[in-house]
Amino acid sequence: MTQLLDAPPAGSPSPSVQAKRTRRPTLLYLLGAVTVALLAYLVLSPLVYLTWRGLTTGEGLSLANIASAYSVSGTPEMLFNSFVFAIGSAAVSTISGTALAFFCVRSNAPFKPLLYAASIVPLIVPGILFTIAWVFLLSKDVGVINVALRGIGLDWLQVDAFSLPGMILIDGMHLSPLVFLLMFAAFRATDPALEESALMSGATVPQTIRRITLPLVRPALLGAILIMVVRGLESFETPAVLGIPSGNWVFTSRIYEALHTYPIRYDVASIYSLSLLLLTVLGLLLVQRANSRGERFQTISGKGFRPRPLDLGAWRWPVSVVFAVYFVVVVVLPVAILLWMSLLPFYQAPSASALKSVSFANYGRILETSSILTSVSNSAILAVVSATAVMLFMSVVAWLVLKSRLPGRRILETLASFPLAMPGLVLGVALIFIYLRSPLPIYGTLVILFIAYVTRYLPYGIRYASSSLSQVSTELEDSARMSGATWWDTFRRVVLPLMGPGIVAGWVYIVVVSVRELSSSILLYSQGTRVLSVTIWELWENGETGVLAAVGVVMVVVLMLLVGAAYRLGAKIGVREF
Amino acid sequence: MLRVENLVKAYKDDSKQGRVRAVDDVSFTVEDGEFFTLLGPSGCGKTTTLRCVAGLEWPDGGEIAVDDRVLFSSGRNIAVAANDRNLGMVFQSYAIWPHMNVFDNVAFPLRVGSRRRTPKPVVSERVERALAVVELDHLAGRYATKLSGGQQQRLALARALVIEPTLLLLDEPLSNLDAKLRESLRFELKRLQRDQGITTVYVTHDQVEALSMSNTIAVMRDGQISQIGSPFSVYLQPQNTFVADFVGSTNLLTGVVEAQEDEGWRIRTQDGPVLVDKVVGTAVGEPCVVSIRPEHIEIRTDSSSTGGPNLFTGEIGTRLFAGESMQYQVQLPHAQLTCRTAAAQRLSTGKPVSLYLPREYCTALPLPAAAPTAT
Repeated sequence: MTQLLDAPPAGSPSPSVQAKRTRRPTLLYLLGAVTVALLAYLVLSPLVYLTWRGLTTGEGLSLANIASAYSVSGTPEMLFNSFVFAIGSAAVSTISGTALAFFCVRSNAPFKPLLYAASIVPLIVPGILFTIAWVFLLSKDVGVINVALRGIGLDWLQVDAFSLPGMILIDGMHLSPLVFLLMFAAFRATDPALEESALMSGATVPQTIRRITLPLVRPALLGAILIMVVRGLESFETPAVLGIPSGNWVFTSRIYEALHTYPIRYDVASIYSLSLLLLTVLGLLLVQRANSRGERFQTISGKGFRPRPLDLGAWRWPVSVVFAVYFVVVVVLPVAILLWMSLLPFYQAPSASALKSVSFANYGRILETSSILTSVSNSAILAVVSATAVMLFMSVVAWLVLKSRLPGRRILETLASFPLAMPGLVLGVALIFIYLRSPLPIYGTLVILFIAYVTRYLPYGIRYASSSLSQVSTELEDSARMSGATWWDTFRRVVLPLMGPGIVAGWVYIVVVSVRELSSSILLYSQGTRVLSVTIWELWENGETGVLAAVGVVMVVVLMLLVGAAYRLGAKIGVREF
Repeated sequence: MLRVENLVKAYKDDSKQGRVRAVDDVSFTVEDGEFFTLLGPSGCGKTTTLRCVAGLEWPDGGEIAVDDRVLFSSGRNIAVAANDRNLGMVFQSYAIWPHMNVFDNVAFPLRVGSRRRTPKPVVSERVERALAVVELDHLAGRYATKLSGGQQQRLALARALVIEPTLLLLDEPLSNLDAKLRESLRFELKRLQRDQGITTVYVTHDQVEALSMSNTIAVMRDGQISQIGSPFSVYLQPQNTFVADFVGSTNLLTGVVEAQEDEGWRIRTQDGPVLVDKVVGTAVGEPCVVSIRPEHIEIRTDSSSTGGPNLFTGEIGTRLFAGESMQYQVQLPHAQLTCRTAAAQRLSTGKPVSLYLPREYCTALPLPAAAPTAT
C-alpha cells in the first residue's frame, strides 16, 4: 500500500482559517463521519448484540449462560472434535497445497496448467456441493472410490466419509487450492538468487530446500496454516452434512442445531458463537503478527524475476502424475459424480445397466419447481445488489483511507476488514438477535440477507478497492484538480474509471461468493427468501439427490462462466496498462 | 503578476519533536511573461512552494496573489481551492489519464467544474488549437498511454494550456526523459513559453535547465531562498558558497581578507596571495573562501611565469576526458583545484604546471559555516 508522501499536518495551525478556507474539508469530514457510522453499525452492532445476549439473562448481567451452554452433554467431545477437525483439515490442505505450489513454481514438471485450473475450484464448486459429491465417492458401503478399492483388494485404504477422518480429508481437499494460491505467491516472491548462492556455497539441493527455501517462506507458511485452522473452525458445510448424521459435533453444527431443535437454546447459540468468534479473532491476530514479522523476509524487488525452475530429472514424471491425480481428485471426480447423479432419477453406482436410465428429467424438474426458480432469482438479486453496494461503498472508503487526510482514517480500514474474523454462522446468529425484535421489519425479508452479505464481504471489497486505488498516482488526481475539476468530478471521472478493473474484479468475486454463501443464509432465510445454496441444503435433507445434482451442475457451470468472465474482463481492461 | 509573501509550510516530523518547516518564510514576485525558476536540491522546499501556489497544499502562513486576486492569505482568511484558481500545471509524471485518449485528456479541463458548460464546438476548437501548439494534433484519437515520453510531456503541456491559465506551473517536467530528448524539449518549452507569452514558474534540480531557460532563478536551500537573480548573476556572482557550489561546480580556497587595495581585495591563502574583484558578506580581517569556476582557471606550462599574486604552482593529478573538454585535478602544496580546458590540451599526470586565477572571476565569500542561508 502506498503511503502519502506529503503527510498531512494533523489539525491545522489556526482553526479560524480552517473554517473559512473551502467547502471541501467540511464536506469531507461529513463523508468521513457518515462512512464511519455506517461501517460501525454493520460491523460492531452484531458484536455488541452477541455479547449482550451472551452475558445477560432476564435478571441482568450474569455468567449463567456460559455455565448452561458448556454443561450441555457432549461438550468435551464437541470441543475435541472441533480442534481435531480444524487442525486436521489444515494439515491436509497445507501439506498438499504447499508441496504442489513448490513444484509448480520451482520445477520443470509438466501439467502445471492443471494446478492453476484446480486452484479456482473452491470458487466454482461450493462447499455444500463438494461435500455432497464426496458422500457418493466415499460413503462406507456405496461410495464409488470405496467400492473400487474393495474391488482391487485395497480394503485398508478405505475411508468413511461419515467419520472424523473422512470429514478432515474432504474439508482439507476443498481448502487445499487456497493454500496452493497463498504459497504459490510466496514461492514466486523469493529471489532464486538466494538459492543459487546456497548452491554455489556447496549446499546440495535438499539442503538448500531445507535451509534456505523453507525458512524464507516460513512466515507465509505459518500464516497459511493459521488461516486454514480458522477456516476449519468456521467450516459449516462438511460438519453439517457429514458430522451431524454421524454424531461428530463441532461448534458450527452445535450452533445450527441449537437454533433448529425445540426448545430453541439461545444461550448455547450465543455462547458458542462468542467462543468461536474469540477463537477466530485470536487466530487472525496471530496471522497478522506472522505477516508483519514476515516483512523482514520480503525479497520482492519490484523487478519481476522469473524463478529458475529446478531440474527434477528422473522425478519429473512421478511428480506430474501426482499433479494429475490431484486434479482428478479435487476437480474431475466431484464434478463427474454430480453430473452422473443429475442424469439419474435416483442414485445408482456408475455401471452399464445404470446407463439405460440416463435422462435429463432432473433438469426439467428444476424448471417446474417454482421454489427452486424463486431461490435462483433471490440469489441473483442478492448477489448483484450486495456486490454493487459493497464495491461502491468500499471505493469511497478506500479513497478516504489512502488519499484523504482525515484524522483517524485508518479506523475505517480496520472496521471494514474485521468481518474476515466473523464466521458466517456467527454473523447469522447475531443478526437474528438484532432484528428478531427490532422495530425495523426486515426479519424474514431479503434485506436481512443483504445486510449479512454486505457485512461478510466488506473485507474483500476493501482489499480489491484499495489495492487498485493504490496504483492510481496522486498526481493524476492533482492534475484533475488543477484542471478545475471539483472533488466529485475528480472522483467520478478520474478515480473511479482508473479503479475500474479492480472494482469489476472485486464485484465479480463478491457475486461468486454470495451465490455460494450458505452459513449465514441458513439461519436467516424464510419461506419466500430461500437462496440457491439453501435450496440445495433442503433438497439434500429431503433426499432428492437427482434434482440437487442437476441444480448443482447448473450452478457450477454458471459460476465457471462468471469466473471466466472475470478473468477475461480483467485482462481486457488491463491491456491499456495502468 | 505572481506575488508570494512570507510563505510558511510545516510538516509533522516523526523522527524529530515538533514540526519541520519545509518552506520557511519564502517571498518572491514573478513579472508578467517571465520564466521564473525555483532551483534547489531535493528536499529544499521548491516543490512544496509550487504546490502551495497551485493550491494543492495549504500553507501555514503567508500570502499568495496572482495579479490582484489573492489566492491565499493566512492573515485575511482567504483560501481559494485548487480547482478555482485557473492555473495550469504540468506534473513530474505528466499525470496523463490513461483511460482517456489524447483529445479527451486535453478537453477534460473544459468539461468540468466552472467550465463544464463550454459549448461543444468551442471545446473542440480550443482543444485542437492547444494540440496544434504542441504539435500533437495528428494524434488526437490515440490512447494517451500509447504516446512516447516526449509526446506525453507535450500532451500534459497542452492540457495545462487549454484553459488559458493566468500562470503556468511546471514541476520538473523534463526529469523523466532521457538526456537527448530533454535537451531538445528544453528549447521547445522555452520557445513555447516565449511565443505564448505565458508567465511560468518552473521547478527543477537541474542547474543547466535553470540557467538555460529562465529569466530569473531563485536558488533554494532548506526551505529558504538562498539567492534570487538572473542566470548570469547567479552563475557569475554567487552570494554564498552553497549557490556557487550548487549552480555549476566551483573551487573553494580558504583564506583571510588581508586588505582592500586599488584594484580590489587581497586575500591571503596558504598557497599564496589572491587578488579578487568582489567580496560578498565578509570584510577585511575576516576569514573567507575564494570561489573560482574550473573553466576560468588558466593552466600554463611555461615555467617562466612563476610568482606574483593569483599564480600558483602545482602538478597535474587525475585527468578526466569528458568529450568536449578535459578536466584536471591539480595538486597545490596545500589545496587541490579542478580545472577544465579544451580537450585538445593534453597534459600527463605528474607534470608541473602553474595556474592563473583571473581576478575578475574570483569572488571572496563568507565561510560556509557562517554563510547566511537567506537573502
